[in-house]
Amino acid sequence: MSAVDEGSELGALTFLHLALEAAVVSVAEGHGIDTKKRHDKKAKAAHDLYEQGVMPEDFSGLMRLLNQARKDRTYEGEEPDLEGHSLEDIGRSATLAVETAEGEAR
Amino acid sequence: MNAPTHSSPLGDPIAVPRTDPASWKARISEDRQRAVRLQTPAQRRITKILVRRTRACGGIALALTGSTARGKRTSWSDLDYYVVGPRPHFVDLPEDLDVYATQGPMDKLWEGDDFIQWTLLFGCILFDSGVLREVFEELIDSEVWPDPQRKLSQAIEASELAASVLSLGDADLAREQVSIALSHVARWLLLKEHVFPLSRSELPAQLRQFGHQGLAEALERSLSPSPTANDLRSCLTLASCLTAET
Repeated sequence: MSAVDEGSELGALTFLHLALEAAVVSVAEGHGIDTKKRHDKKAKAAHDLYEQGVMPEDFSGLMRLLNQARKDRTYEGEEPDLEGHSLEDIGRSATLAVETAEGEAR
Repeated sequence: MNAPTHSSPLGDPIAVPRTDPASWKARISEDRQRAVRLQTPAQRRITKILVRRTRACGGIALALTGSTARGKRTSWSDLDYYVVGPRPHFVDLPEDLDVYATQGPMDKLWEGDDFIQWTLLFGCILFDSGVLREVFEELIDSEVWPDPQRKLSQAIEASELAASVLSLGDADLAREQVSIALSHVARWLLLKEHVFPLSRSELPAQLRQFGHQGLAEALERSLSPSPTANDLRSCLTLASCLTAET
């Protein structure tokens, strides 16, 4: 969350996306799902894990939104379109995903 | 100054770009056929859905762009689209998609953006109300060249971010960031030398042709399936040295 606090927009987008993905991949691997290091497969795993009742929320839409936002910012220098989500809200979702992954790992 | 179509030694030159309505219509027809040839059946289904959604939400032009449009996809490639108008809903679609949307492609051209030029020169235009034809006409008439400084700023920012991610010590997480940073550095160098940068996997060959052997090797290392953290650190050191020389 430090990048969010420090006001680095690209840093915040990137690290929130990485945190969400890392949490989902960790849980997915524990359930035998191979995400093949691809963003779309990680988002699909997030959806499947929610459907299975493993993840508390379906993070897949947020993961894809963040992935697009960081690309828009990285490649085009554009203001990211977070479709009404604030970075703080996304930070809370990422924290929830990480806590779920930590719980699963115990 | 030469038009970019004539400046890319490894590109597919468009011999005499024509922008009259009949020629543009013929180009779109050819582009659609090319898009069909270059995509897998699953990708074609996604494109068909995006065409429908883009039109439905008021989009006035759509192009398939990036490595797919060059026939140079790799295992890490996105499926890239350029939309003029609102971004259509896409988060439910499979594949790694990059759906870039803008309301003002002409402004992007004059801001020195390279992506609008890339899309007009190498992309597959899937439909166009006329807005992309106007921008292409302007590109050909004005011979405007993308702004290398814009790429340099992106390269510096991306390099700093890649270094932050790499400091976490996970090479898998950092690989994509390092590759993005090096691609920006490569595009900056090539644009400075008046060479139009092609797709990411084609950049190493372009760099070698203009004497940037070290950066070509670094970019290839960052694109390899499993580079080590040390590999990525040395890639970033080179990127920093090159951008600091300015």
